[in-house]
Parts: sequence; C-alpha cells; structure tokens
Amino acid sequence: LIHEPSTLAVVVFLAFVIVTLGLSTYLGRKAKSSAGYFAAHGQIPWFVNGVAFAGDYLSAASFLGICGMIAFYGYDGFLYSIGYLGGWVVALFVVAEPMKRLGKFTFADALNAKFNSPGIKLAAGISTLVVSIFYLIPQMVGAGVLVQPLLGLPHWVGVVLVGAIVIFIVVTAGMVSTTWVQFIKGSLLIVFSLVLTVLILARGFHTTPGAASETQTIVKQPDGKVFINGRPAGNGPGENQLRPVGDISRLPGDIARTGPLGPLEFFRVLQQSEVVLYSSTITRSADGTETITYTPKPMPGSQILRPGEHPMFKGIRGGSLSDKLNFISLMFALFCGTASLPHILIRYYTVKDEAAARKSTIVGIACIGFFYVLTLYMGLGAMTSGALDVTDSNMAAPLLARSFSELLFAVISAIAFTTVLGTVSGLILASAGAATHDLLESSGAVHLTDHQRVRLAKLASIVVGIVAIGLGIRFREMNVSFLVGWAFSVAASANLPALVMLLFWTGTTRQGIIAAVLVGMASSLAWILLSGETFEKVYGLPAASALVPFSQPGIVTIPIGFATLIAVSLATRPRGVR
Amino acid sequence: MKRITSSNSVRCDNLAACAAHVSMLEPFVIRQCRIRFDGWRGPIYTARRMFVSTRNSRIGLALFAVYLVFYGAFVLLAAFSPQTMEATPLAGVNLAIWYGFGLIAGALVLALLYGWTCRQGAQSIDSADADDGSRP
Repeated sequence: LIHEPSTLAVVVFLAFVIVTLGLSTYLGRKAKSSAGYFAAHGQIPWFVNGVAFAGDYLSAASFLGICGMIAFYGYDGFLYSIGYLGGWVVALFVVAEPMKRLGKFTFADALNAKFNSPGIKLAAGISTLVVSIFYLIPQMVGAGVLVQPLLGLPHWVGVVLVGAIVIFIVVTAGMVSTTWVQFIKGSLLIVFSLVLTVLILARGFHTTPGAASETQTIVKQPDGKVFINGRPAGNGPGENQLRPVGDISRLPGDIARTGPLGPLEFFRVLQQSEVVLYSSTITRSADGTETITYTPKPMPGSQILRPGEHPMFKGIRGGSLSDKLNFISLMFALFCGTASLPHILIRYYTVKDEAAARKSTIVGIACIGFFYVLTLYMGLGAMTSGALDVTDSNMAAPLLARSFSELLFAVISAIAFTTVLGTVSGLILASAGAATHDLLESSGAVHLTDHQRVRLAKLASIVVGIVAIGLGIRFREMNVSFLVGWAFSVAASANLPALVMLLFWTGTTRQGIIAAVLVGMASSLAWILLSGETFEKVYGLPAASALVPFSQPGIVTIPIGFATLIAVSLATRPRGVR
Repeated sequence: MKRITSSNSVRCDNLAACAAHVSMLEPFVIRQCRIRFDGWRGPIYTARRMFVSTRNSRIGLALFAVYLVFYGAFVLLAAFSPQTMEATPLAGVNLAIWYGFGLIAGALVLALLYGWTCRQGAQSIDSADADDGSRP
C-alpha cells in the first residue's frame, strides 16, 4: 500500500512530543543528584510506577508486532502475549522485593550487594549493555518503519527524530521524566486499545463477496520500475497500488453481517467462519525481474484460532522433536527473560520500599495482562478489517484504527510513536547507568563526585542514544521481532541464573556470579549466531547448514548459566565451608 | 550461627521462626534485633524487615510453583498435542483461547493473592508487636 502522510497524525504526534518535552524540562530540576537521576529519589508512587512498568515493557514489538502477527497468522501471535505476561510472574514472586532491598541504581548493584566486587559490576555492566543494545535496535528500526508511511519521511529521519527526542528526555530529567513519559504512554496505550476493541466488537463481522479470488502482484524491474497488478505503482491516473486486504469470505449461516458481538461471541463466530489470508511467493526471472505474488488463501476460522500456523510455530504440528524443542525454548526464554531485563529491573529502585515494589508489580501485571488480552481482539479485528497492507504486518494496528476513523488513526499512530519513546528512554537510561555506575566506577580508575556522576551519565546517555540511532539506520532491513527474541534469550541466560542463585543459595560465590553472567551471555550469543534462523535471515545461507539443532537458545543456555554458577561456586568456596 | 541478644522491635518467637525456616538466614548474625550479613557492605536490616521479606519470599516461591505448573502444561500441550487446543469445551470458544486467557487472568489472581497475603502478614506482625508493647 502507498500510505498518504496524515496531517492529523503529524499534528497529534507533535502535540505528544511537545507535552513530553515540556514535562521533561519541568521535571529536570528534580534530577540534579545521582539518586534523582537514576532512581527518581525512590519517590515515585507505586501506582504510577506500576503503569510505568506497562509503558516501559509494552514496546513496539508488543503493540505493532503482536497485533500484526495475529492479523496475518492468527492465534500464534497471542503465544507471545502469554509468554511475555508469564515473565511478570517470575518478576513479582522471585525478583521484585529482593531487587528493591539489595540494589540502588542498576541491576549490577543488586547482584553485587553481598560481595562488593568490581568483577561482578563489570560482568553485569557488560551484560546490561549487550541486552539493552539488542533491545534498542528493533525499537529504533520500528520508529523508522512507522515514520515512513505515517509522516511521509524517510526511514532515517524517523530514527534520528525518535533518537533526538529520547536523548532530550533522558538528559533533562533521567528517571523522573522517563517514568512520567512511560506512565502517560502506558495509560494511553491501554485506554485506546480498549477503545479499539470496543469498536471492533460493536462493528462485528461482515463478508466481502469475491474477496477470495483477488491475487495481487508486485513486479520490480532491474531498472527500478515497480508495477502493481500490471500497472505502474503510484496514486495517479493509470497507476495502481495494492488493494487493502483482510476479509471474511463466509460467516456461519451464510449471513452477510453479524452486527455487534459480545467478547466470547466474537471468537465463537470467527471459529465457524472462513477468513481470507494471503500467502506470498517470490520469483526471479533471468533478466533480474522480481515478481512477488500474493495469493488469497481462504482458511477456516477454527484453523486460525489454533496454535501452529505461523512459520515459526508450524513445527509443533509436525513430527520433528527439534521443532517442538524450539517452541518450548522460546516460551521458556519469554518466561525467564522479563525478570532479567535491566531496563525493567531498574524501575524497582524508583519506589520507596519493598511493599511499593510489590504493589507496583501487581499494577503492572494488571495493566500488561489486560493489554495482552486486547491484543487478540485487535489482531483478529485487523485481520478482518478490510484495511490491511499485505506487505507490512507492523502496520496492522494503525490501519485497523484507520478503518474506523482518521482521528483514531492519528491517535493510534502517535501512541505507537510514544510507545517507542517510552521503551527507548528506559533502555538508554539503563545503558547509561551501566556505562557510568558499573563499568567506569568499578574500574577504580575514577572517583566521581555526585554531580560529576550525573554529568557523566548524561554524557553516556547522549553517546548511547547516538549509537542507537546509528544501529537503527544500519539494521533497517532486520526483522524486529527476531531481535527482541535475541534480547530475551541473552537476558535470561546471562542475568537470571546469577540473580536467582544469589537470592536462594548461600553457597553462591563472587566468582560463580561472574562466570554465570559471562558464560550465560556468551553461550546464548554463540547459539543464536550458529542457529538456522540467523543462517537464513542474516547470513543468507541455508538454515539446514546451521550448527545447532534449533534456533532458540533458552532451554539450553539458561541451564548452562545455572550449572556454571554452581560448578564455579563449589570450586571457589572459602576453605572450611562445607 | 544465630544469636539473639535483644528484641526491641520484634518478638523473639517471630525472629526465631524466621531464622529457623529460612536457610537464607543461616549466615546472618543477629545482633540487637538487626541483621547483618557476613561480608555485607550494604545497609543493615531490622529483624522485622528480614522476617517479612523471608516470609514473602516463601509465599512467592509457592505461588510461582503453582503458576509454573499451569504455564508448563500449556507449553507442553501446545508442543506435543496441539490438536487438543482445538477442542471447544465452553461457549464455542476453543481451549487455546480459554487456556491463554486463563494464564493471563491466573497471573493477576495469584498476584493479588500474593499482595493480600503479604499485607496480612505484615499487619499481623505489627498488631502482635503492638499487643506486647514491643513496637518502638
């Protein structure tokens, strides 16, 4: 689809940006000390912190990625919702209160509370930077992807725009402004997702006659000319653009329209309907012409609402054990990864005590869980909205909104931008904390005053922000959900074993923690780099030539992290200790 | 070794129960109702705070185990018996959706239960301290 830049979207987006920047400037005076800059003086009310958890956690991958995946493949996208939410159970029951009790500014503080070891700070600081950078790339790429169709700007402009705004937010008031931006974003995201869901249910389903017979083609010639459905691509006379898709070819009882539906009725009707999805094939001729053909594929609703239709999950319906292990490994990493993400963990330092940490996590679970329930309605609503861009699943949620009204489209698009702002702010703050508080100070080479520490952290925020902008432009072709999966796996493998064992095993030693963080991080990275998915999508090699049996590392590398910690701790325990 | 030399802020039986039940407290030296961890460089915690923390930790682990069973069963069912997920046990909605919603709602229910239990525990200690006049 060729998206016309929306003036209304630009206006709403600018209004959001002005409010955000104004808030950051206003709050800047509260972040003069390092306690204010990194942890908002621990004075954020628990309810605000809980909603900010949602704002921090519900990234572009959650909002745009999951909705798009459900819209294109059905239930499988919801598996991510379940896994992402499940991770919060680990955060609440295992990590929340000890994190608040043990730490001060960064994840490394908690890990190092017992030993006061520069080695632990160094290892945890490196792990924080690696995980945050992996998480930053897809957010920045997502920002560029959004800007292109919505504001009519090039991809790199979107990345630079978001990067510059986030740097301003983080530099002016650190955690104070980051928290309020995340609070606003989290609130808006949930409220407007609910609005979309209510509208979807009120509209119900309707059939589109002839929807199942419309094949579409994009032909890209070597001279750069692009033809869509036989005509030059464009909006002018004699030109063509792809038709929006997302249709129902048959409803139960062969009715044409259902009218408003209840929350359960929505699924029951869809279960008995037939929906038109599209498969794509790419052919290349000898002269270099590339033809992409989108073929309609009517599918029973019962098939759409079951797991195992997305290419990544298809294996669970086959007989291959490695495919099933790949699925289990992904769900395991999602479950363990949340409680290991440094930008989430530092949010525990912004409240006054353990009780507030606990209560804010409960609020976070309520907000995030509610949003994830809504993702299934929004994704399936987009699937049947008749407004989908068959080439871009990330645009499913904004286009669903456009199928209702231009104003809603503008608001949802602006919220999608704020989604990126909120998450990137948290990531840059976590990275800046790791760079200054963990890496630089742990080296022992510099002793900073409080004022110097804040100035250095602001400088680090600018550097990390610029690096993020560069990576966002460099990796623009990279699949965003792919990178988020990497971040979860690396975080869970590197951080969770050390954190859990420190809390629950008195035999844990300093050397054990350092080894577990480094081995967990290295093994998960190595597994990812040697996996079939990376071979195919990054190196352009056949997936079959991969050196590991399945792509998701969690089920192997998280236990490796635990085993390393136990083995090294036993080997390095102090003399006389049994 | 644990040693209690004073009980200004909490009752000794609470503290003893705390120390006896939680292996994590083994290396702690309890002195004047404050707990210091061997080699610890951070803040020193009151016995009451550590008691509440360890009690919450036990409850949290139990609830975590409950959720893990349901989450694990969901993952294994989807991996090894995906056709079971297609069954429509209630209201014409399939098991995959019911189970998924159940896991999300279940997380919230357990979270609220945890919050309520922790709050009750903290209140009961406070009221016990107030009853015997040991509350500072």
